[in-house]
Amino acid sequence: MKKIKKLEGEGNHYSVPKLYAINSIKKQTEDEYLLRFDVPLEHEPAQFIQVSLLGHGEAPISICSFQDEYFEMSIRAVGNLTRKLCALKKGDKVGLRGPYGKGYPMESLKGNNVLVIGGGCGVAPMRSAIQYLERHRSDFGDVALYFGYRNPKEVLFAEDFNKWKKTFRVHVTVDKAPKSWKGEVGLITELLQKDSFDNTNKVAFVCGPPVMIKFVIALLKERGFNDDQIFLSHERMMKCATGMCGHCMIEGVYTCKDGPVFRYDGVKDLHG
Amino acid sequence: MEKVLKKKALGAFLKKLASFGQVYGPVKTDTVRFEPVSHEKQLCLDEHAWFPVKEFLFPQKQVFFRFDGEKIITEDNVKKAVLFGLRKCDLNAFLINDKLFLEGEHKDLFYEQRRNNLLLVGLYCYHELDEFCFCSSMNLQDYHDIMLYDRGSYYQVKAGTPKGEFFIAHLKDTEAFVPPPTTCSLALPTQEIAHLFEHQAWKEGADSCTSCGHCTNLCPTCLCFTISDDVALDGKGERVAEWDSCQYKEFTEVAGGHVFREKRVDRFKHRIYHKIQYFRERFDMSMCTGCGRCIRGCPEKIHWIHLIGKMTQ
Repeated sequence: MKKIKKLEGEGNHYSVPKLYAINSIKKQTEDEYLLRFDVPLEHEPAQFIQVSLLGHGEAPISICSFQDEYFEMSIRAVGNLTRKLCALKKGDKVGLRGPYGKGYPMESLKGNNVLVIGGGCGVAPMRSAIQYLERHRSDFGDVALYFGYRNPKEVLFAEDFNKWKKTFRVHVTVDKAPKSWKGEVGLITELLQKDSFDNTNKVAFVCGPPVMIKFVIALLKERGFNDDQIFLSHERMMKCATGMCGHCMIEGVYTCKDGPVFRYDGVKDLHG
Repeated sequence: MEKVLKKKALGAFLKKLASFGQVYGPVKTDTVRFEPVSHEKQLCLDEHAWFPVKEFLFPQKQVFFRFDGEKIITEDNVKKAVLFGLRKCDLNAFLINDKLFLEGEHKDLFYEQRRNNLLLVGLYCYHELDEFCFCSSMNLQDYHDIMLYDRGSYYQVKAGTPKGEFFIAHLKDTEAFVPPPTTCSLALPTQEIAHLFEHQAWKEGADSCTSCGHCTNLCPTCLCFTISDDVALDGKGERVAEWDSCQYKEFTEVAGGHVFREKRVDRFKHRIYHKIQYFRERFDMSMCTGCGRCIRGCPEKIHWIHLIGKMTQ
């Protein structure tokens, strides 16, 4: 099947989106919804799309799938636009432009063992890399997934866990839980501490809130990880997604086009 | 070939330029700003324009596209214009802004259209226009369609592009002239400030700063912007881009409320580092042209050149 390289509207200005009908919308948690578009889009795992509703604005949303015939985005209803997006129905149209940015360089990482560490909605871009790993399973070694959420109600992509458990090691923890929760309770770093992994032939993908990233990296460093074995997916305010508007700059680096996935050695000394 | 433009012929020259498009030049009203000019007597050529000319490339507020239901309409209604009396600092700003809007992986077609529809006519400064100018320490390049050098009773004129050549071809030829370099008494001691990031003195500047954004508004190369939708009651609307400022706290706020440059000192430093460090590392030229507007127009009179001077002493 011929894949589409770029979603873009007419008129040649980069800001113009193309309207696409939602092919399915599914409630995932209290606040998160999964939108699927049956568009064969060429993209890297964890690239993002500028999603907009005319009249309500635009936001960068990472692609959380890696499939030939469709792509999905998980949206958390936290602002005016995202609440509107999550209230849409199948067949409603949204504006899309992209994909933008640099995703996980999966091709160049073949042969490695992979540690995937995601916190909260940071698991969404990870899922794109995980689906890549599923499709190229024999190209990679041991794959371990570690996910942390605030509480059982916020566990995202739980419906995928059973499938992933067949080929990957899957570990899930929540910060706080009622007695009915059968799984792990505690911070993701505590969960990682229990695992005796080292850095041999290994890369780690990390995405989550800044405080989680900080402690996870400290732990990876303790286990001997070199900076070039760690990949981070950064979140920043973005408007243009083309390296012009300035919002996503971290020092001289543009998260929208140099990232959002960065190898840690390239960004570890950057401020802001 | 260089040319002679007698000062008394300036009016006729402006008329000739007007055949390209509306001529704008520095006019003294409440302050000096670029306004439409039809007569040479309107021009104020001995002061620095308070506002830069970046609006001609990227207006303070511009419509990216209009929408009506599911219909998206893009329009281009760019008019040709002549900017007369630009100083070298403002001419260099075009080169810098081009790097971001035209020369990357993506380009802004509206910027490109406006850019191609401008004729840039410069006026050479032999000396600083006031005590805030520091362009002579900023390695500026020669860049113009037409450049004027004041030689007393006449202007020595030269073209930098074929587009400029066309408008001076009729003038009398003269010997080439090499102007002495511009001298400013104020100088940026160094553009290399990476090692100063943790210096205590930044706090002094940041402590007086109120994050008002005057510096970014007045900077000829600050074109950071935000994008939002304006909607009328009938549902018709437009997606607009408006100048924004890295000095505002909201500039780096993401969904959920986290602000990446929450401390004022971080925002204060970000602008200066972007201007003379980060941009240069990427594009091999400074993003600051030494026009001095950010110091001249700062309500708190924060003098970041002196601040860096203090750190490098």
